[in-house]
Amino acid sequence: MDTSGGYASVPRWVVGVATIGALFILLPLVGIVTHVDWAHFLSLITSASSVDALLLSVETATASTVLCLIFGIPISIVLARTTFPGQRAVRSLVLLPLVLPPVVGGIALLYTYGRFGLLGSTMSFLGIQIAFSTSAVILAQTFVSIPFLILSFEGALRSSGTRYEAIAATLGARPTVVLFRVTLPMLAPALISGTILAFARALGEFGATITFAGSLQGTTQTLPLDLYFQLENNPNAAVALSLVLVAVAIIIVSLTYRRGNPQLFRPGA
Amino acid sequence: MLTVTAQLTSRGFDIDLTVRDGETLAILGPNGAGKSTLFDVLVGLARPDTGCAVLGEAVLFDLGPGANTWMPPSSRGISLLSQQALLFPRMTVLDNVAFGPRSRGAGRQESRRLAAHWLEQVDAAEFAQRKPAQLSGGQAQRIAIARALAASPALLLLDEPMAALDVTVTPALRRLLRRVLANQTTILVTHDVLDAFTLADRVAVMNDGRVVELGETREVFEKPRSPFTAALVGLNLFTGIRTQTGLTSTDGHVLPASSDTTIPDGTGVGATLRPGALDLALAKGNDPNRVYIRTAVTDLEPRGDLIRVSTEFAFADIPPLRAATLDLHPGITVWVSYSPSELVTYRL
Repeated sequence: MDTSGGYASVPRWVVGVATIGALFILLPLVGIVTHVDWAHFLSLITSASSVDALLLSVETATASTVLCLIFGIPISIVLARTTFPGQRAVRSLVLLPLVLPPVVGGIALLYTYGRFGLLGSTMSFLGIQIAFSTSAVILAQTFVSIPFLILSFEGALRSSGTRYEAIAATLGARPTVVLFRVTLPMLAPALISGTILAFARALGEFGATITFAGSLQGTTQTLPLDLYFQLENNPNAAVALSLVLVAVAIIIVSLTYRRGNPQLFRPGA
Repeated sequence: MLTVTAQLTSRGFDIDLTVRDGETLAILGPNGAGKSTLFDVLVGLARPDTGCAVLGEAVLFDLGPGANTWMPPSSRGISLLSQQALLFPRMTVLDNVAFGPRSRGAGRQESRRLAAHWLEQVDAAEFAQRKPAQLSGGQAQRIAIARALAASPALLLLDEPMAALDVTVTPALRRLLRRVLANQTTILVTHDVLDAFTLADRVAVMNDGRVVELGETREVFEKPRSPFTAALVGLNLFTGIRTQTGLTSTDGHVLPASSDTTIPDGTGVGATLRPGALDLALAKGNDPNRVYIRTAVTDLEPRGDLIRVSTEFAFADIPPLRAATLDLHPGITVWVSYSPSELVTYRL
């Protein structure tokens, strides 16, 4: 095995276990491909419900990614660059959706923004109905995907330090100018990889969405939801749609790596 | 002109300093002496407990009972240049240099024009369109100098600007600094006596968060008051009381020195001895014009083409052949000698 120069102490059994593990991950992809009904592939993935679901997925995932950026960047900056009492607790809580079962997230959202939730009566008084609408899908996706952006960007902020920002300040730049002209451009790679991760997570979101937003074709039925319900009635369509999502995932991963950004899955790098 | 007084108890920092307009003040001192704290306080990255700093007309800070003025770093007009160039990696060299004027409100064209002018000043016009990653350390540091000066700072802080560079590029950079710092009010932190000699008008020596020596560069280096300064310029320093024949040092040596009628007996004095003015022998010599002192060798180390022999009394530089002939080694007892005319006392 080529260890690309230099001494690399890799025991053979490690390579063996690694191979088994990699096969475990890769084989299911083959499993999908072998079950695709290629003869009807196009018609399967272009059924009315599928196209609706795909469009809705792209729209909502894009909207929730924008929300992640709008709120995730300031949260990361406050966590990385300031100190305040209870900061550690806040950091853990902000990352909570990462480890929380998505269904629990959906229930939490339902009892906060739903009609009978914490803010529900206030919001329905204002004429705002969120639960079981497209807005609910976007909120659910934002809820589960924002930790990915924060994890990636806050880590980069911490490891980059503040030396460049201090220099920029001594050159006369106010904090907002420093943020937009120095900090963000410098950390663009981490920001991009965090954004892609958040988008991918939003695109795949299922549990929180079905709990908080339900599954109405064209309004809240995103691709993963559509796929799940197709699996009962029309497994061939489900498999074909799965392959589409696999392809999308592969494109996302390869796009990120092609940008010469190998720290994609290394938050904090 | 800059006047600053500042106390920062948590770092044991207590300073009172003035820098005149257009002057370069070099600050020397061992690690942890408070040099970085001074810069942090001036730039606005550290907040003293009490103190007041005025730069030209601007009050940088005024803190203490009844006063609470604090100017943010971006408004102070103080540029900082450190060991690393820290050029913004995503910008071209030209945009890096234009950053200061741009941030202070100049238009895009005007900023670029100023940047081009300063790039020319540091002989780096040809790099204008490069990215920092395409520069060598010396080139990057030249551009960092241009960037710091393009902001037209009222005060420039240089934090060991040549410490991280290859020795082959430092002479050119030193000459460049000498040229551009001519009328620029500057504080230079350095470990290098040569930097202080070539760039500074005055020198301040810091220790334990305080300024312990301050004066014209030549004066401070020729008449050091602290062991740190003496070691920096490579001189043996003795401090003690002036007597009729010389001085009695604080560690008890009676040292004949050249006579000086301007200093009355009993005055506290210092005196220096060049390490080259000392000689070593295994037996006491009998030259009436030399003073012989019995002491023990503590250390030997090569120093250029000489050997520096440290003894409990003083250190001496002798040729390697002589060190070998004497079979010097730590612990051996030797006689160190000097001529009293080499030992000149001065008031402390």
